[in-house]
Order: sequence, then structure tokens, then C-alpha cells
Amino acid sequence: MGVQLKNLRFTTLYTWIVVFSLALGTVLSLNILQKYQTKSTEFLLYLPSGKNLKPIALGYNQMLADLLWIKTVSYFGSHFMTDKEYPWLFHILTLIIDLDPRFDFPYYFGGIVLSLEGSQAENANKILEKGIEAYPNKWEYPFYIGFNLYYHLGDPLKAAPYIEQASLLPGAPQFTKTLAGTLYEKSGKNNAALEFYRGVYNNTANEIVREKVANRIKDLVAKREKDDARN
Amino acid sequence: MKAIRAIAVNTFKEAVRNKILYSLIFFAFSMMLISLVLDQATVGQRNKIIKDMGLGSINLFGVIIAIVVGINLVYKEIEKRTIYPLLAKPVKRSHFLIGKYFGILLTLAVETLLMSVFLFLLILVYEGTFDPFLLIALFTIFIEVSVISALAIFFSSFSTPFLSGMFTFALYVIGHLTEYLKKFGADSGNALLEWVTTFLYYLLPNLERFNMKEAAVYHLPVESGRILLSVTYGLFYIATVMLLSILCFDRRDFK
Repeated sequence: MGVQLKNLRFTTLYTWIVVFSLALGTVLSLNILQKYQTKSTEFLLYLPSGKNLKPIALGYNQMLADLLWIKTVSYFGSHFMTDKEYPWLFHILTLIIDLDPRFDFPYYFGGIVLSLEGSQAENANKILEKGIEAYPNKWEYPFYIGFNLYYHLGDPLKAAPYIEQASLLPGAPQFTKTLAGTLYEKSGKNNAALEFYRGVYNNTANEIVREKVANRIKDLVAKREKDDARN
Repeated sequence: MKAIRAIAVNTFKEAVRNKILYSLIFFAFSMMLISLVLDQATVGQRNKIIKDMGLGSINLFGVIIAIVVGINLVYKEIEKRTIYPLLAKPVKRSHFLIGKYFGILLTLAVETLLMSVFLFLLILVYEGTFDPFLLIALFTIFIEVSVISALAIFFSSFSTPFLSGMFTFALYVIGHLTEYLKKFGADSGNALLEWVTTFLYYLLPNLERFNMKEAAVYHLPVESGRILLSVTYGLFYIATVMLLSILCFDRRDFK
């Protein structure tokens, strides 16, 4: 009986040693394996475009978009802390937007981060154009496009219509109402600026804006008369 | 009617005793809880992730339960030979099959209800509000899993559980792609291909019609007609599949 008990204890001890060794082997091999691991986002390169991914999602497209969104946040965070280069950010954001066009945060994120951090203003605008398609009543998206065109791409002429579009949407701040006119003026399109200011003057109840716009109209009319007299 | 009810209640009891069902429900709960962790790893629209993951889990595990339970019920009765004394009684084969189907529906209803209560509690704790919009999606998810159960019963009425599972799962996948199939035919410019794809479009279940998760999460307006027609379509499809199942099961030789 005593020998049997001793044998049993020995077997148990032996089993535990084996279990411990195997567990140690697992941890060690996993540790070594990490060196060979590809960058975590690289798998996204092999994903098809969002439009092709949508049928494969079998109705779970929102869930898939959420998971990709979490991946995007981690991708952005890891590159922000290291090389500050985001070559695949546009691709991932496009996937998310195509899978779940109503998910509005990626539009803001793409529209701002791609241009400010990633120096990809054109790609940022592509994302924002999709945002306008999904949410035509949000003033932020045309405003950001206008901002990217003017500030990052230095094109006030292309920026002005977007700012004008934003200024006409509900909830747009008052400054957008004069900003579009300023951009038209900067790009030398005084007639367009005058037309825009007149439109704002007739459709805005805000007295401060009306006063500012009236002054701009006065200046532009005076300038035009001066030009006409010179010619 | 009494026989159908007795078989349905028995099927429900049998399903409840099945340990696989509990493990699946456990995984669904775990997935919903994981959404809380994922929610912390993201920025913007955090509640959306909880709702998406919750509805997705209820849908996914509902489908898995419908397939797993559905394909085994008839086969088990035949394999264990418990069907012989049952059919020796004045119970029609059609009643047996309908009873089984209602039993699965009862199981799925309880399972969906349990998981829905859990999801609503999660949202209540996290958001502090009750979101009634989710009820629309949960209701249509139930209709979808009911269609899947009918298909599982149909295949199991003449095939083995493995094959029934494969067929049902294949139809579940195709059921989400029928719109693309129809579009493919229409874009091909080939009249015959267009006819074939249109035929398949009506023959195969269109499960995307029951997908109202997006509308529920984003609080998009859903016309009552759309819900009513989706339910009508689902009921017609289930009735047709069940009738075909009865026809197959009636001709089956149990020797």
C-alpha cells in the first residue's frame, strides 16, 4: 500500500514536471515566433475593397467594420508613436466606410488625420466626399474638404464652393458664411464673391454677419466701379 | 393539435438538456462582454460597438443553434429508434415534423429572449437608457433563424446530420448573397443567365431582407410595411419549406 502510494506520488510529480516543461516550451516557442511575425496591419493589404468585402460579411458588415476600426486606431497609435507614416490608413478607412457607411467617426478621423498627420490631403478629401454622400446635411464634411483644399493644397478657388456648401447647411457656424466669400476674393473671383455675399446678406438674420457682409459688398462694389472706370 | 404541442414541448425539453446549447449561449454572452473590452480600445461612437457586437452575437449564435439543433432532431429519433413507438400511435408524420419545428422555435425564442435581455442590461448599465430600436432587429433576427431552422429540418428529413448541416450552412451563406446573384445576372447581358439567376433569386432564401441591424443601431426610420412584408415573406418561405419537408418525410422508409 505504502509503495503504491509512493508510486502514485512519483507519477503525479512526474506528470507535473512534464506539464510544466511543455508549458515552458510553449511560452518559449511563442516568444521566438514573435520575431517572425509580420506587422499586424499587413494582413489588411490582402483584403479586397470594402464593396467586395460587404457580401462576404454575410450581414455582419457593421461588426466587421467595428473590428477594423479598432485595428485602425491601434495602427494609427503605433505609427504615431514611431515613424509617423501611415501608408495603409486610407485603405483601412475606405474598407470601414464601404462596410458601414453610416459609421460617421471614420469620416472625421480620415478627413482630419490623413491631411494633418499623414500629409494625404487628397485621400482625406476622398473620404470626406463619401461622408457627404452618407450624410448630406452635415456641414463639417464640405467644410473640411474646403479647408484641406485651401490650407494643405493651396487652392482657394476649389475650396470656396465647398465652404459655400458648408455655410448653407444646418448648424454651420457664422464664420463659414463670410469665409467662402473671402476665398473667392483671394482667388480673384470678385464677381463670385459678390454674388455669394449678396446671397448671405439676403438669407441671414444674424445682424453681425449682415453688417460684415454688407461692408464686404460695399468694398467689392467700389472696387468693381473703380476697375470699370479704369477700363 | 395536442400531438404537435406535446412533441414541441418534448423537443424543447430535449434541447434544453443539450449541453451544446448552453455552451453556445455562453459563447454569445462572452462575445457581448468582449464588446465592453473592445469599446475601451477605440475612440468615438462607443455605444455603437456594444450594440453591433450584441446584435451580431445574437444573430450568429442563433443561426448556429438553429443549425445544430435542427439537423439532429429528426436523425436522433430515427437513430435511437424512438420514432417507431411514436409513429405507431395515432400521430401523423406531418404532426411529428411540425411539432419538432415548433419545439426548435420555442428553444430559439427562449435563447433569443435570454440574450436580448442580457444585451439590454449591458446597454442599460453602459448607456443608462433602454434602446427600443433594437427590438426591430431582434425580431427580424428571430425570423431569420426560424427560416434557417425550417431549412435544417427540411434537409434532415431526407439526409444525414453532416450533410444537412453543410446544406443548411451553404444556404445561409447564399441567402445573404442572392441580391448580388440577381444583379450579376442582370448585368451579364445574357438572357438565359439572367433567367437562371432570377429563378435562383426567388428559389433561395433572401436572408438580407431580415437584416435590420443597421437601421436599429443608427435609429434609421423603418417603414412598418417593410417589417410586415419581411415577416410575410419569412412565413411564406417557412410554410413552403415545411410542406416540402413533410412530403419528403412522408415518403421516407424507416426500415
